[in-house]
Amino acid sequence: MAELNLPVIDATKCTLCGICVDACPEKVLAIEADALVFTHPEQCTLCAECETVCPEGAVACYYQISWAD
Amino acid sequence: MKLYLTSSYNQILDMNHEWKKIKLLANADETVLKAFDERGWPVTYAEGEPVLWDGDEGQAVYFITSGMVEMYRTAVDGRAHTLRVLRAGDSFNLVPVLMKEGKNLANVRCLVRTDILVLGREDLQIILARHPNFAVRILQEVAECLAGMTGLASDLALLTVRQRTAVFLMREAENILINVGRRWTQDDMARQIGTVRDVIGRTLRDFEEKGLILRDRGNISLINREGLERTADGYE
Repeated sequence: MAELNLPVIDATKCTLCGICVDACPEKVLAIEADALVFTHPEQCTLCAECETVCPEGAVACYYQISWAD
Repeated sequence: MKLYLTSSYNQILDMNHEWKKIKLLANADETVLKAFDERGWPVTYAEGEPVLWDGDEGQAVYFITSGMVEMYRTAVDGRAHTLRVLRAGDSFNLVPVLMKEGKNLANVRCLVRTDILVLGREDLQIILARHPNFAVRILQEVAECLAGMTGLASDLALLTVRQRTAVFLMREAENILINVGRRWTQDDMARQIGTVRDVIGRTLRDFEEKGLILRDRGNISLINREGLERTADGYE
């Protein structure tokens, strides 16, 4: 099951292009040792900018949609 | 019927009880249920597992007893559009099975682990020939399917992405209330709404700036019902 709190990265699709790293407003992503990693996962707001800009569809941010209380 | 034996999750279910979960059979008499029970078989599919492919011969009709599937078509460039998301009690692939040499009209894959009862084309035709009252019920189902597809085509032609997104968000929020909701990525939403991921991203951002929704980590909260309804109607 997908993780709710952080974007899910599909390593088989990710080409390490770095576009998501540049797009992340909280600067929580980085490319280290040939892998996309979360350097500051606690700062991720799950804004989904990384998913929006990924040209490979390698990033997925899962949302539950509901009426506000 | 080799196609249906490829799943590694085959299991024996309480068949008669399971058939009664299907909306199409809700008011069917015992003889019809017995006919389905004798001729149908259960298959369990894993999350993400394909059930059938667009263009293949329509060999069977499928009845979901638990889980959820996505019916979708893909364009040449790989872009997918979700036609329907179906849940427990729903059935699919009825139309190709009723057509002469009908082909599957869409791809179907499981969004979660899904239990399905399967009935072959010839078996369905035998049941319809023997149970004319049930055949009328099948006609109603096909008519409803046609009406649904007409509505979908109309929405795609006449509503903007903003309108379709507002409609989608409100419908999904209602699904959560009745415990048939799911979690969505922007890609999933794009497939459902008939657009692409970055357009969904921009639309959600715009909705947030206009105070219609609030994104908070893994939740999209709909905070302005009137505003969303006006957006869905094309007034904003």
